Amino acid sequence: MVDAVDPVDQQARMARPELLLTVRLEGPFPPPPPPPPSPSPPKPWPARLVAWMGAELPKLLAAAVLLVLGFALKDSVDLAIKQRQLDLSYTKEMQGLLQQLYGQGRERGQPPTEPELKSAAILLAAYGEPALPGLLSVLRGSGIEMLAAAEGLNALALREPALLCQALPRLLGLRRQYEWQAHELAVQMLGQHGCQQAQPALRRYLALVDAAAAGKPQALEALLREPAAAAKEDYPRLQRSVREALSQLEQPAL
Amino acid sequence: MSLRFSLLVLVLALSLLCGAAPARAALVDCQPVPGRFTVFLSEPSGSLLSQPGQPRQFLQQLQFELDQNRDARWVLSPGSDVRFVACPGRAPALDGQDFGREIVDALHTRRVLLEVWGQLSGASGPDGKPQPQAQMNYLLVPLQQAANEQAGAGGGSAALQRLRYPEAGAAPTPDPVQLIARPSDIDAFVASAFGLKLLRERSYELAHRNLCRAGQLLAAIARRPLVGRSKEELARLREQIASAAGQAVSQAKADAAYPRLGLLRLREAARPCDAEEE
Repeated sequence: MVDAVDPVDQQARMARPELLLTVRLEGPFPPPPPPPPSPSPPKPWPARLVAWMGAELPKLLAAAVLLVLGFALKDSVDLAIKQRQLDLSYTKEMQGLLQQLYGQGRERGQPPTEPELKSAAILLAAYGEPALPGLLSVLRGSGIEMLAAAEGLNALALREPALLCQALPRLLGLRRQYEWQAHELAVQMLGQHGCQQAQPALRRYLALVDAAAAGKPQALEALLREPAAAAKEDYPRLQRSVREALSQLEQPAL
Repeated sequence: MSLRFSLLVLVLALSLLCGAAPARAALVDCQPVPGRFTVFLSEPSGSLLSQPGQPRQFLQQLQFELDQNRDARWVLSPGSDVRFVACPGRAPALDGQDFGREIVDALHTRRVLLEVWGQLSGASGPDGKPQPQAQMNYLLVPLQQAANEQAGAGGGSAALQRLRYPEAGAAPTPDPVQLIARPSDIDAFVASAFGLKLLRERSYELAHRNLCRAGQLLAAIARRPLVGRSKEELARLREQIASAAGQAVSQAKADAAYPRLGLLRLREAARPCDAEEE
């Protein structure tokens, strides 16, 4: 059985929302209703991609960076390995020439002749940079061995002057490695090959040689493997060579 | 890479070309005695020592003779020491063409005074017995080095001396070592080179003594009947030695480091060896 609706009750129910509305108007100001959604312009694709990728994006970026780095590293490592292999192969090829320069591998009583030594040194120089340590090492010898090494270094300087211009000033500053004759050859090469950047080193070296020629050879002799046997003749001669090299550098040939 | 390869091929070809050149005398390295003055005894060429091992044996005997039996005959000071070094395998060309500027310089800076080499041959003597003959070369290294430094200044150098043995009037000998070592020629050239080197090293008194001694020994050689270039070269060497003796006196007097009571202050540069000659 359905209850009949009391008209009074129904009227009261209809009046209640008005009452509630009154109460709310007395409280804090309510937020304005959101504006009606306006039609926004379409986002650019990167933004849409970023939005689409969401939290996965950093992972993707990290993977990409790793990939690029990997490629770059692999390339340089490959190059370095190949360079090492090349150096190793050159070393093996140069071994015979170096032995020849040191007079090894020959029958007793048949030392290498001057043309043979020079030819070996020039061949060695054809290998370029890898030949530099060998030639500088042979320069520590004496006599025609040392002359042959100087010939090789000269040949190398014709091809790669920067190599020699960098290595020879350092040679002058090494302690107890070379004799004064090798120093003189190095100084002459620096002048002849126009190693401008060697000027400061040569000036410092000249100060030591000046002192030695004036009878105070201690500082210069600290650099030499053996003091010069004839100091009164040899140090003034070395002094002339250094001055000549400096003058060559101050007045370029061309 | 291809550039490097082509350069290698080029250098190799050049080396082969050099190797294909006609064979000639070869200069191999020889080590001087460190810290001392050295005379190199190089291998002689010629038919007399054609068997393997003979040149080495000859050099060792010659070195012993000069180094031990006649030790320091020319050195007039106990403080200086000249050593003879045998250089087997080192066989310079007879005309001295191997001694380029660089080689002479390297010898000079290592205190090599003299290099002796030559040619030994055998010929039958008047009695039918084989008699060795020799043409010996003497390179005075300090003189050649000075000539190289002054190249272009004119004036010939007497640095290379050539003499034949047996010398005129000498008793025949079958021993090639005695043939070369018996006369005082080596002494004269060692004293000359030693005096010149000492002058360069500003050791004036010792230089002067050796140069004066050299003048006397060279005069003895000049008394022999020399002919041709040998005579001219020896005469020029005597002039240069006499001049160097005068320089020893004048440079000593001009050098502030030379002692005030040094003996050379009593000498005259124009007549530097008067006392020795008397």
